[in-house]
Amino acid sequence: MKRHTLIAFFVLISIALSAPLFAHHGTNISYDHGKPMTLKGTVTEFVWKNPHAQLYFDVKDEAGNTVHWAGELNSPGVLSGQGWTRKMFLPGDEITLSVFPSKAGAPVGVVDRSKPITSNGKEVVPAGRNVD
Amino acid sequence: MRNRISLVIALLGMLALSLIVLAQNGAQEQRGGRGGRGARDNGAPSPPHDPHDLTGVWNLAGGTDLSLSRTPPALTPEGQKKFDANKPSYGRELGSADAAAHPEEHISRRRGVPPALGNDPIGDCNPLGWPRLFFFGRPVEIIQLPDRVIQFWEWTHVWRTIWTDGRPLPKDPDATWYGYSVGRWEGDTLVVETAGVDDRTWIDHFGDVHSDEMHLTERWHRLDQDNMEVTMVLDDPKFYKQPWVSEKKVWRLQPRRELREEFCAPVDEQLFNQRTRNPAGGLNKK
Repeated sequence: MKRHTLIAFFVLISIALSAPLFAHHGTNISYDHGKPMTLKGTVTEFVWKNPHAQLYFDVKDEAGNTVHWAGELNSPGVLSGQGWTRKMFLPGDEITLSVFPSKAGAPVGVVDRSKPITSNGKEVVPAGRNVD
Repeated sequence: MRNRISLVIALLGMLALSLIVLAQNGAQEQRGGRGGRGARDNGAPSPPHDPHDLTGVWNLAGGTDLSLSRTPPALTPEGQKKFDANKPSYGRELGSADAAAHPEEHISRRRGVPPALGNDPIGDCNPLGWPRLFFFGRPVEIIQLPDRVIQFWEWTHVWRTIWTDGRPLPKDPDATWYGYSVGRWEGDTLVVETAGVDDRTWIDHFGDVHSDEMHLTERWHRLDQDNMEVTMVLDDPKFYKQPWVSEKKVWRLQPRRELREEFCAPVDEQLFNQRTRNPAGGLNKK
């Protein structure tokens, strides 16, 4: 019983603390924040345009098929304030990142900024926060 | 019995956490939050300032709500019809457990849909309009001339002219995205009146509405070197049964901030919508 009490307590704490992070962001309604996915892939394009930067990359699925993924990001203005640059990702870069996937099941996700992003084996974006 | 004790413990834990979060938000507000780089954290007295000089780059303080207030006044039948037609993507998701858990919130805060399925004008980079731009959370640079105050807004790279040469508001202005604005000093407060805002614009991210008869009164008051307080009253008897009085909004001076070029260009947004937004929301698979 004590164990259940503790589990219930921590689940409720997690919900209470996580809700404000995503409460006001329009785009997040499209994505499932309960199912973060870690993906390894090869960059095909990095779009550095307002109002949303985008990272496109190819991922090999379990059957060996290539799936083309889209990763949604914040605006270049916000990202550059956090140290991002338009040359941070180039076609051919091998990346590992976490996304919250589309609820509709499409290979599209909003990039999970609470996890680091590595490119060619090097951490290029440290773990941060999922805020606007 | 044990279950009840567990529930009570969990609820007390949540209450304690809520208080901690509120205290943190309060502290952030004191420090200036996201707009706080100009605020003085070291307790040093604010340098002297001219209260009639609003010049500088300012940003909305952290923790500020994204509308006049969280609860708009009751709508008229005509206003309600227009409100119901809007499908915003901010706030809690329509029909979700999260939305159901907050029946105390106004419906505007719990009717969000994926952007691909919504009709927010900014989804195609249409102008935000006034006062929505005020709540967007990006900085403004204010310049004062003898006969006008000019506000350069970073987001979407637009400016707003507030005429201070004594002219009255036009009686029947043409509709424009940001309306027509005149201002006057009442003591140390710049009182700005705006009319003629295109009624296709939303008041805020939540799809709140205004009619072509909206009359907005803003009061801009520089409290000290680093802080400015703004309040608004929205009068729109065609759509609302009472005036909508805002809470106090605090803006912080950003002395080192340089405004960037932040257009929302349809050519870029259309590509984003096709490649990312729409498939994410279940429309036209890639």
